[in-house]
Amino acid sequence: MEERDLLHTLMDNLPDLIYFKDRESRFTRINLALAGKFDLDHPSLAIGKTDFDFLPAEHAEAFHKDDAELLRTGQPIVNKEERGVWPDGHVTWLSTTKMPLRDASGDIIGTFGVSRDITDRKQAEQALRNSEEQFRQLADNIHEVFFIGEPDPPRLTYLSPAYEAVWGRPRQEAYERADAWTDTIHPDDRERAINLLSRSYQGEQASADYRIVRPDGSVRYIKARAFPVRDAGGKFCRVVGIAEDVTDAVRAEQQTRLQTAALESAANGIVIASREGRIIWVNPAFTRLTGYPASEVIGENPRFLRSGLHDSAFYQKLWNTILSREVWQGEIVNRRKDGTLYTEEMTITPVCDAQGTLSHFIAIKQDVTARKQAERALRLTQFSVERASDGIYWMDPQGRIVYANEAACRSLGRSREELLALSIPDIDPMIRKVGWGTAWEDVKAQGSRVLVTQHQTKEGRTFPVEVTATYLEFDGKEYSFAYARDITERLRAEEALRESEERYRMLFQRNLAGVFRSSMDGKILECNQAMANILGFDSPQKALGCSAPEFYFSDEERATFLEKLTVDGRLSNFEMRLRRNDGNPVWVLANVSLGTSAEGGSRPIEGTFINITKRKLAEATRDYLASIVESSEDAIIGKSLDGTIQTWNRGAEKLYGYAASEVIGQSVLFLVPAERHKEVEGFLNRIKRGERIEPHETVRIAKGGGRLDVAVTISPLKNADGEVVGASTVARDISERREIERTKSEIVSVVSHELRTPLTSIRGALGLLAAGMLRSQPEKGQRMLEIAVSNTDRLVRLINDILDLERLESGKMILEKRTCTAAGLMTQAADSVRDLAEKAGVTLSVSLHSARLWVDQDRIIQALINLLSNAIKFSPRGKTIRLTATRQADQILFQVKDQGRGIPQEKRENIFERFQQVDASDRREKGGTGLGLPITRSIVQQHGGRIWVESTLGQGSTFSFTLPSLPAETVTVDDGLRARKVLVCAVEADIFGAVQAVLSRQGYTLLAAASWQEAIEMASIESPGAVLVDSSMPGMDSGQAITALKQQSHTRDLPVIGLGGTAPDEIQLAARGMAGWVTKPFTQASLLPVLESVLSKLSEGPRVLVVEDDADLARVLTTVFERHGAVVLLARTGQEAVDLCPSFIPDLLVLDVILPELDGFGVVEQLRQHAHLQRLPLAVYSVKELDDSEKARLRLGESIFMTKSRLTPQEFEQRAIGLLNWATSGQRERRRR
Amino acid sequence: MKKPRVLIVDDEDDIREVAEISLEMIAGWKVLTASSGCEGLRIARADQPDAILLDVMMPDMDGPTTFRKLQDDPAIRHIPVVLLTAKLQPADRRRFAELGVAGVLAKPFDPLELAGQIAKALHWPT
Repeated sequence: MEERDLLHTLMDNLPDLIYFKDRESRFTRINLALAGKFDLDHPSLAIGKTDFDFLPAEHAEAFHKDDAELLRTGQPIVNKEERGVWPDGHVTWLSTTKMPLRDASGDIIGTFGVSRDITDRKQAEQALRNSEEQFRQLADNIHEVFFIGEPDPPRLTYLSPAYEAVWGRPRQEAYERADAWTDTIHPDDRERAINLLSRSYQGEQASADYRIVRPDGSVRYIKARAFPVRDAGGKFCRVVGIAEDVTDAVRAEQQTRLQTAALESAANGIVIASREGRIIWVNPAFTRLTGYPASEVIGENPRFLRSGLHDSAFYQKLWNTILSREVWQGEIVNRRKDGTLYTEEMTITPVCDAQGTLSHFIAIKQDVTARKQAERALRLTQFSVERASDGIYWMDPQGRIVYANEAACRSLGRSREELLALSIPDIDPMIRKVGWGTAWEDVKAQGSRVLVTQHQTKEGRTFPVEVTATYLEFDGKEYSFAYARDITERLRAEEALRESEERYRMLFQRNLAGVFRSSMDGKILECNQAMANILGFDSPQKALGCSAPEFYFSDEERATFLEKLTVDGRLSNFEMRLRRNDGNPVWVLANVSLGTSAEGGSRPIEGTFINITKRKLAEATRDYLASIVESSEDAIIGKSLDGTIQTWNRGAEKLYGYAASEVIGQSVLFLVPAERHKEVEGFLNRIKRGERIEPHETVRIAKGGGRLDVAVTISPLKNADGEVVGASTVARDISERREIERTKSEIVSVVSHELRTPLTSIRGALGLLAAGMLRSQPEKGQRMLEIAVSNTDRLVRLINDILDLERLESGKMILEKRTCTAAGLMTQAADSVRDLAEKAGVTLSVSLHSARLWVDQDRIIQALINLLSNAIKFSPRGKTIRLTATRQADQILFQVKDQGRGIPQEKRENIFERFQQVDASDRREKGGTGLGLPITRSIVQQHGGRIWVESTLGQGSTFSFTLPSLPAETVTVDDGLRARKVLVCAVEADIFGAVQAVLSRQGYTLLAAASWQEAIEMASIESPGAVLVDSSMPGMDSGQAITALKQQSHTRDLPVIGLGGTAPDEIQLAARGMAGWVTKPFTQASLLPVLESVLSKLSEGPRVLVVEDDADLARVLTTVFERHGAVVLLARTGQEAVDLCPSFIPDLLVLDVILPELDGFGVVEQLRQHAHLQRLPLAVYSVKELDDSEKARLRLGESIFMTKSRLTPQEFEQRAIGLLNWATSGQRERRRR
Repeated sequence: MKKPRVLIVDDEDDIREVAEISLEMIAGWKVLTASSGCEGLRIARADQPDAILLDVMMPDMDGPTTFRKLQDDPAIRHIPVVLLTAKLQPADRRRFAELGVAGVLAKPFDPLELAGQIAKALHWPT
């Protein structure tokens, strides 16, 4: 059972159609599939039915037939393909296998069949057949060659028939042999094709273009593409491809390209325009022609080319022509893009399409501008050839003249017809001789020849010609083309040139100027004798080839020369130095230029040089002399012979006041005063004769008319030939000299008068006495003697003053300057005139000043005395004269004020001149010489000061003068310095002098006050160390006097020393508030110690007595000791020292050996006599070294000896101070009392 | 001729004194003196001297000026003048001569000769 069920299951599940039929072809069983086909719900429904029940009759018939067959034969029918139409109408194909069904005995009991639905397959087969058929149709009908290939092994499996048409070969051979195909390929392309093939057989899609060669040799272009075909599994299984014969296309393309290229490259401009006249295409030639690029013109109407030269009718005609489909051809002038005009030949061709309708225009443009120009040029050429002045001939190889121009005809005197019938030998006698053939051959061989020959006119006259003949081939024929120029004139000119060149050469050689030529960087190429001389050679030959640069004198000159020459190409009159062969310089005047260079080398320098050394020397001398003239202080004037001023030096400008430009060209007479004109003219005449006018003094007139005293020398000026060409005047201003002379003579006359005046009195007086005229009148006689004596004195004074003044003014007076104080000077001067003042009843008030001056003491005192005595002279009784000194910056102002009657204005100006006397009364006073003020002025001026007078009539006069002062002492409250200032209060002026006399030598500064007021003022300003109050001061007897001082804060502590009669005792002194007293009259010895003791209370320093007569040295020593805090007293002489020591008792004595009055030795000797001075420490210094015995004589206490020259100041100081310190350390108790 | 009266004009006292003594004692002339030109003119007008001895160099008014003033005054212009001077240059002499003075004497003078020189200049009988 199972087996049967299994079988049934199997049957039902198979997709194949399975049936079992009996012998009557009735279904005994079918499977499900078949049931489905029969459209039965269940297979069992088919049992007992036949095919006729389900299938169309014809099919059922066929099946029954098969069944019958089967039953009969018992042969299976295997895979019979049947078409089945099923009940529902659909059709299928079946592949049926029918088998007889046998029973166990082998009898056929029925049939069974299995049918497979092979519809799909059948459809596929049909489709395939269809497609094969289609394919075949396609393959048979397309022009393309279709091929299929199998890759493994690579072989062609199909090739379409078109192959035969295209390749021209039978397909068979391609099938049979692979290389049969490759052989067909053009050798150049074979590789490419094979590449295609191999790639495609590898499964690549490939394409290639290649050429084939057909059996008839023609070439076809093939475009082949191969595609890989993949099977259902994706595996590459075959190649299909297609190959096209694209020859026509290629050819066509080539053609087009060619055509386009042809169009593009056409030399002519080509424009394709639409029927409407719009440009469609232009070629590059168009752009070249018109300047418009294609991009600009496409779509435009070509009217933009219109030049404006053609009228509208022209363009209308053109348009009409082409519209009627006719070709237009003509010349037209157009305008390019850049505006220029050009001429073109244009052909416009209308193009019609296949229907004959106008579609385009093609215009071809040819620029004929050039051609037109060429035509014109040609015409011109022809014209010029025709008209040329030279004869122009064309000859054939036989020498026949085939063309001759007008000039040729004219020169030969023949007509053109005649000439054209002749040949060259007929016109050229020289060629006639030589023979034409040779000439022809020469020209032909050389191509071109120039020869000088002769032509002969019709009349037989010959003339020289230069012929340039050229061989030509023209149009296949040979010709000779020749110019013939009549060179008669030229020959003549050449001859003349030769002659002139010859002359030139001679000139060159004989030229006095150095002529030469050198290359720019090098050698002397040409040189004449003169040049050789300049350069120092014997002959030009020796100079040739020398290197020119050697002859420049200096690199700078060479550089300048070349630079200038290169800039302008020439140099004219250029002065420079050359260096001769022997190394010496030579000045030359160069006129050179750069020549033309031959063979393109450097340009030579050529020119002339003239030796101007002499001139240069002359010029140098002249310049030198001119500068001497110019710089001379004397006026040097050059005149021509007629007196015209030609040169005018600086001295002349200064003297006359005219600038050179103002006078040159004028007659010299305008400088000469009228009265001397004749004289000057006379001079000029003498000059003309060559005489020199001796130096003489004369008068000239300066600018402004002022007269000048001049000393003048006039000399003739001669030229190089010795001819007098002018005059030179040297004039020196002698006005000053004259002035001096005048002054001198005036002085002399005045002085002589002054001298003679007292002499007159003397002479007169003595004369009378001598004559005994006055014997009887002794009083008168006595009087005469008195007159004589007093006038003699006067004379003496006068002579002294005159000489003084003379010496002062001439600077011969030697001033012995030393440091002085104003106070000292004033005091001494005041002392001298005190008696005079007393006698005149005039009070002298002197305000001293401590300022220091560096002056000649005696002279300044003299000046002060002069002024004071004048003041006294002119002061009425009872009046006061004040003498003051004031510091003004760096000078001291001295003033003498009087209360006299004053000096009138007019007298004030001259008051300092000689012998000016205010009135005669001056004379009466025997003092007056009239030279006092001039002398005073001179003294002041010699000291660098100024003097003047101020005066008010009726009130008085003030004479003032200044003197430079030494720098003021710095006012410090240093005790040491302060100690040196002493304020002296006195009403009586002579006190000042007396005190000054003592103090000044000690280096004290004296301040003078004449009143308490002054005293207080001064004390506050000057801070003196002590006050010396004279008894003449008010309130001296009572203590009230000092009260004034005591009341002021800065004078309260000022020690006061009284100066007067008997010294009060100590109690009284104290009561009066005084620190000390000096009795009058006082001496240095009585005053100084008191002062010292008072002052030295201020300082505790040791006391040093310096004995030195040299003021400068004394000052130095004083300063040294004071710097170390010592109190220093100064003794000028040995005697002074001896006087001072006992009272001063110094701690140290500094002693110079050489002293006035008493020398060092004497001092020591005397001091030894004082007990308390025997042990005085001593610092001795001397000029020379002292020997032992001398030293022994100079000892007191501890003594040191120093030699001035052996010690430096520092050493002296050291030793002296050392001694001092030693001295004071042990002897502090030896203070003053 | 009666005793001539001579006016001496000179600013120098001593010279006046000496000249005065000289002329008075030697020549016996009457002498007037003046110490300045002004004074001289005044005295001349007042006393009408027979001659004037006039110093040239005087302060205030010098000799020549005094002389011109003298000439300007008809009352005294007739008085002859002899100049006394220390200036003896030819130029000066010419200048004085041009003034129109009667004579010029030099300083110093010989007191013994003074009168004679004056008389000679004035053409007085001696």
